[in-house]
Amino acid sequence: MSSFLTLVRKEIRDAAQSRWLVGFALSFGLLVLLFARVQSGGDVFAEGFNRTTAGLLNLALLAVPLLALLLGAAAVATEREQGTLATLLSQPIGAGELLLAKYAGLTLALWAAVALGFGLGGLLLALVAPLGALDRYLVFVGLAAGLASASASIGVLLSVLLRTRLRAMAAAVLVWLVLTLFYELAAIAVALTISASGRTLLLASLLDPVEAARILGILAVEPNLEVLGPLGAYLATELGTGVTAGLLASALVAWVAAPLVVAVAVFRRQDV
Amino acid sequence: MGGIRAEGLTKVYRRGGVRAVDGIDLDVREGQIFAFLGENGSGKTTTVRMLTTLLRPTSGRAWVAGFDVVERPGDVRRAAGVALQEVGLDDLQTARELLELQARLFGLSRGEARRRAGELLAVVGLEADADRRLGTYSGGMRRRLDLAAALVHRPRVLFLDEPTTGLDPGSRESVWQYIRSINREEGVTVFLTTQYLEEADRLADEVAIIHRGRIVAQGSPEALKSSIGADVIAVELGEDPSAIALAVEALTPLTAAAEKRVADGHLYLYVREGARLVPRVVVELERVGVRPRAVTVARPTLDDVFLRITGHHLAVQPPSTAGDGAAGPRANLRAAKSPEREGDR
Repeated sequence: MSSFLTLVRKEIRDAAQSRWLVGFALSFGLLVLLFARVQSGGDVFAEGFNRTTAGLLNLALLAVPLLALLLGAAAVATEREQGTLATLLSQPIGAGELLLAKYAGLTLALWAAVALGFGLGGLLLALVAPLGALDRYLVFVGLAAGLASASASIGVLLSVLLRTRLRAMAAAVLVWLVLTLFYELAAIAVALTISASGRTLLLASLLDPVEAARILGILAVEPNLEVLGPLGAYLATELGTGVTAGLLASALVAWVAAPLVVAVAVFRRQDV
Repeated sequence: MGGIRAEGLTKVYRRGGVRAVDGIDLDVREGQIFAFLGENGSGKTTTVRMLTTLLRPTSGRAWVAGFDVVERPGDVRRAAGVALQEVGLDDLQTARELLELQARLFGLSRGEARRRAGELLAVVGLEADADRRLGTYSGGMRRRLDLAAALVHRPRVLFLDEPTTGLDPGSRESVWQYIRSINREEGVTVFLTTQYLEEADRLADEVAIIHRGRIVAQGSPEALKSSIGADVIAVELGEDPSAIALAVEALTPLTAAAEKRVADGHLYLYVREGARLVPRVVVELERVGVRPRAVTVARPTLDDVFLRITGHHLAVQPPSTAGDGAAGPRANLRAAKSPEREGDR
C-alpha cells in the first residue's frame, strides 16, 4: 500500500510540474466567467449559475473527455518510450498495482483541475451573481469529474494496448470524436432506420459515457424533454428521471471500471 | 543464496518469431562478477530482462538469489538491483527525488530514504548536482545515478546491462571502480553484460560469451584465454585473397598442427612458443613472395577466444579507442593487457 501511495503522489506531483493541471484549471475558470457573462446578455452576471451551468455543460462534455483521454493515453506509453516503465517495474511493485496507481494519480490530478477551474470560477461567480442554482452547478462539477474518470480509464486502456505514445494519442482523438460527435448521430440514424426498440435506445445511451453524462447533466440542470435529445427523452418518459439518473450513473461507474480491468489484465501479460 | 542460476532459458519473441535466447544455462556464484560478453543482438539484454522479471521466458527456468523469476518475481525484485542499458530517468525529477522515490518503493521510511539517497549521491559523486533536474545531466552522470538507484535497497545481486556503453574513458573508469568496490566491500554478486572485451577482461571473475542466443564459451578470462593453449601469431596481409591463400599454403608445413583463422586481412596462427616461430614464418612468407605488413606475437586475448569460436572479431571498441580504426581489436587488447592495468583485476 505504501508503494501504491508513493506512486500516486508521484503522478500528482508530475502533473503539477508539467503545468497542464494549472493550465487547464485556469482555462476552465476563465470559461466559467466568460459563459456567465455571455449567457447574461450583457447584464453583468445577472443569470448567475442557472444559465451558466447549462451553457458550460456542452462545453465540458467536449473538453473534459478530450483532456482525460489524451492524458490517459500518454500515461503508460510515455513511460514505456522513455524507459522509465522498465525502471519502475524492476521495483517490487506489481504491474497491476503500478497501472492502478498511475490511473489514480492521473484521475486525482484531473479532479483537481476540474475542481480548481470550475470551483474557483464558480466561487468568483458566487461573489457577484445570484446563488439560486448553486446546487445544480455543484452537480455539474461532480459530473465533469466523473466523466474525466471514465475518459481517463479508456485512455489508459489505449495506452496499454497501443504501446507507443503517438498511436495511443491518435486513437484517443478518434475515440473522442466517436464519443462526442458521431455516436449520437449514429444512434439516431440507426433508431430511425430500424425503428429501434426502447431497450436498444437504453443500451445505446449506456454504451457512450459522454452521452450518459450529457443526459445526466441535463436531468440535473434543466430536465426538459426537448433538450434531452432522443435517447434522454425516451429514458425520462419511460423510466422516470430517478431510475434514468441511477442507470446512467451506474453506466459511468462501469465505464471507469471496465477499461481499467481490461487494461490491468493486458498489462500484466505484456513484456516490458 | 545471492547467486544466479538458469536452466534452458529461452525467449522467442512472438513478433517475427525471433529466438533471441536459445536454451542457456548459467550458474553464477554468490559474490562473483560475471560478464556476459557478446555483440549487439546476441541476446544479452533479453537475458537480463528475463532474469530481472521484465520479460517472461518462453521456456526454461531461472533463479535469482534463490527465487524463481516467474513464480516469485516480487522476491527477485527485492533481492536484485537493475541498471538497464537505456537509462530510464524522468527528466523532470532531481537525482535526490529519484533516489528517495526508489527507496520509498522498496519500503524505506521517509527519513531512511532521505539518508540512503544522501549516502548514494556521495558515493557516485553527485552531491553537488543532487537538486538539479535530470534533463540537464550528462550521459555519464545519468549512468552513475542509474547505478546508485539500483543500489538503493542494498541488493544481493546487481544486474548491469552495458553499464559503460557511450561513456567517455574517465566516466568508464569511475564506473568500473565503483562496480569493483561494491562487489568487494558489500559482497554483491554482479551480472554485467558488455560488448567491450576490455571490460570483461578487467572486471569479471567469470565470462560467458553469448553468440546468436547461445552461450558458446564460459570460464574465467584466464581459463578462456588458456583454452587456446598457445600464443597467437598475427600476420597482417591486407585484403588480397591470393596473398592470403599463398601464405596459408606456405605456412601449413611449418604449423601443421596449429589452428588458423583468417579475419580482417589477418592470418592468425595459434601455436606453441610463438616467439621462436616468428622468424621462420617471415622466411617462409618471403620464400613464396608474400610480404606481410606486420607480424606480431601475443598471448591470446578474449578477442582471440571470440574469433576462434565465432569466426570474427568482436569489433566493438569503447570510446577511448573508437576512433583508432587502424589499431583494430588486437591493438586495443594489447593496451588493456599492459602490466599496470592487469594489476587492477
